[in-house]
Amino acid sequence: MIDGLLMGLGAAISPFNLIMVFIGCFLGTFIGMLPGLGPMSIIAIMIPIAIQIGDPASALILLSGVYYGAIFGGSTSSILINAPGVAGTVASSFDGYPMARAGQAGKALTVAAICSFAGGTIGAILLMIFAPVLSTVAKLFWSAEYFALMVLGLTAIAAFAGKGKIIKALCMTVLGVMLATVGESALHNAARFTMGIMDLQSGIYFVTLVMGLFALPEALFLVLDEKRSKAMANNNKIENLRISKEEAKEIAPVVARQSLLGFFVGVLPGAGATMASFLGYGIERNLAPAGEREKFGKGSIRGLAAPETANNAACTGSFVPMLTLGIPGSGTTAILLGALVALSITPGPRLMEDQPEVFWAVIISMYLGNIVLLILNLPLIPYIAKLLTVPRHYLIPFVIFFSLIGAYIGQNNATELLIMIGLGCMATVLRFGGFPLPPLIIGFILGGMLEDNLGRAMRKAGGLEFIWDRPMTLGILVLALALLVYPIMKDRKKVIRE
Amino acid sequence: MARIDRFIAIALLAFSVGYGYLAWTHPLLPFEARMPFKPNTMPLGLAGLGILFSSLLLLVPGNDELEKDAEGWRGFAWKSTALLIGLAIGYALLLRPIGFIASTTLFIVLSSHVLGETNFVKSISTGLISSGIIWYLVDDVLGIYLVALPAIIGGTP
Repeated sequence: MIDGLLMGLGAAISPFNLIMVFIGCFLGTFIGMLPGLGPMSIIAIMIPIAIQIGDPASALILLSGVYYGAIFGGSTSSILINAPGVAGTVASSFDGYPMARAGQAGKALTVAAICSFAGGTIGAILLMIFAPVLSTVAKLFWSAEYFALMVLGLTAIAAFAGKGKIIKALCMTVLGVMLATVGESALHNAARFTMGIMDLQSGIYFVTLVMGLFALPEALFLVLDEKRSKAMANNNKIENLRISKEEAKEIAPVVARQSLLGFFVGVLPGAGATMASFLGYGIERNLAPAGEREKFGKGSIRGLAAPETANNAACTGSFVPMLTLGIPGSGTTAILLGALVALSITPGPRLMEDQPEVFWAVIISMYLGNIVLLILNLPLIPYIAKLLTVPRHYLIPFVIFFSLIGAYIGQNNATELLIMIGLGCMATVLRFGGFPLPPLIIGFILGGMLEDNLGRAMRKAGGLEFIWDRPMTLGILVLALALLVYPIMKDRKKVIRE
Repeated sequence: MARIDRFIAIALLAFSVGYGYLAWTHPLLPFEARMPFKPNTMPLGLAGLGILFSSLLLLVPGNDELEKDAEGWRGFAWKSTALLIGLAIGYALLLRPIGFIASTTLFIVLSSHVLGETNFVKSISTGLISSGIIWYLVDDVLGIYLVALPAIIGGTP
C-alpha cells in the first residue's frame, strides 16, 4: 500500500497536476452553485477537456476536483438561498438555510466546508484500506436489501414530525412518492399519470420540483412578509465565521459517525450521497439530546454537519464499486466511468494490478481535491456569504430567476417553468397550512428507487416473501420501523404531557 | 374555526382518490396482469395510504402549531406577490419567443420595480449585464444551448 501511495503521490504532485486540481475545484464550486447544474452535468461538460489533456492521472485529478467542488457549490446555494440544485445537498438546506436566515450564513458555510473536507478525507482513507474487501460485501446487497435501505432512508421524515405534525409529515411523504410515480419508470415502459402531457412522459424533473418546493416559496414568502425580509436583511452581517470550541466538540462525533456511515452507504451501488445524507440526518436527529433534537430543521449545527459529512464520504465510497468492480454506484460515477473508458482505462478487479498508478492517483487526487477545496473556499466564504447582503429588490428577483433557469437548462423546455411555478404556489399554500415540505422531497427522491427495488424483489420472490426470507432485509426494515416509531412516540408523549 | 390545513386535507383526500382511480384503471398488458408486481401495485398502495392519512388529518383535531410565516397574513403584500408570480409566468412564456437576454432583462427590471426599485438605469443595466454574463457562461462556456435573441432578429427558438 505504501508503494502504491508513493506512486500515486508521485503522479499527483507535479506543478501541472496541482494547477489541474485548483482549476477543477474552482470551476466545480462556482458552476455547482447554479441550481440545475449538479456534479453529473459539470463532469459531463468537462470530459472533452479532460480527454484533451491526454494523461489519465491529470485528467482524473481535474475531474475529481470538479466533483468535490461541485458538491460544495451545491451546498452553498442550499444554505444561502434554499435552492439545492442536486438531491445530495437537499438535507443540507434543512438546517443550513435556517442558520443563514438567523444571520449565521458565514458559520454555516464554514461548517459545510470543514465537514465536507473531513467526510471526503476520512472517506479517502477508508477507500484506501477497505476498497478490495468492500467490493465483495456490496455484492451481497440485492434488490430486497436496497428496498429496505430506501425505507430506512424514509425514516429521516421523523425529524419533521415533531409537535403533532406526524400525520402531516406522512401525508407529504406519500404525496412525494406519488409524484415520483409520474411518467415512465425503470420497470415499466408505459408512462403513468401523465394526463396526456407529453412533457411529463419522463416524469417530474427533480430540479423543477426542488426549486418549486424550496426556492420559489421562500422568495414568495420574502415578498409576502415584508417585515420579516427587512429584518433578515438587517441580520445579514457576516462577522460570525468562526466555530466555537463548544460547537467543534459538538460536531466532532457527528463528523466521525457520518464519515463512516456515509462511506459505507456510498459503497452500495445506487445508494449514493442522497441516501447517505438523509440517513445521516435522521440518525443524528435520533441520537441528539432532547433539547438539541428540537432544533433540527430550525438551524441545528449538528443537522448541517451530518448531511454535509455523509454526502462527501458517500461520494468517496461510490468510487469503490467503480474502481474495483467497474460498476458505477451513482450517476456521477457512471459519467466518470465513461471518462475512464475514453482515457483507455478499464476499471474493474484488475485495475489495481494492471494500472496501479491510475488507481493510486485517483486516491491521492481525492486528498488533494479536499485540501485544495478547503484552502480555496475558507477565505472565499465571507465573499460568497455577501450574496445575502444584495438589496431585497434584487435578491428576490435573482432567486426566482435562478430557480427558473435551473429548471429550464436541465430540460430545455419552457413547460418545466410553468410546472415549477404551479408547484411553488402549491408549496406556499402547504406552508400556510403548516405542512412540512422536506418529507415531500425525501419521498420523491427515494420513491422511484423504492418502487424499482420493491418491484425487482417481488418479481424475484413471487410476492412479499422476500421480507422474511432474507434476514438482512428483515433486520433493516425492523430498524427502520424502530427509528420511525420511537421518536414519534417520544414526541407524542411529550405533547400529551404538555 | 375552519383552519387552512383542513381544506388542504380535503384537497389531499380528493387527490388521493383521483390518483387511486387512475391507478385502478391503468391499462395493463396481458403479461403484466399476471406479474406479482404490476405497474399499478405501488400506486394503489400509495392511494390507500394517502386516503388513510388525509382522512386522519380531517378526523383527528390538530394540535400542531401553524407555520409562523402564516401569522398575520392579512398584512401580507399579496399584490406584489401576485404581480411577481404573473411576471414569472410571463418569463416562462416569453423565454423562447423573445430570447434569453431580452426576457431575463425584462423580468429583472419589472420585478425589481415591483419590489421598490425606482432607478430604471440601474435596473436595466443590472438586467442586461447579468443576463449577458449568464448567457455567455451557459451557452458558450458550458455548451448548453440558450436562445439569446428574439426569433425575428436571428434567434432560433
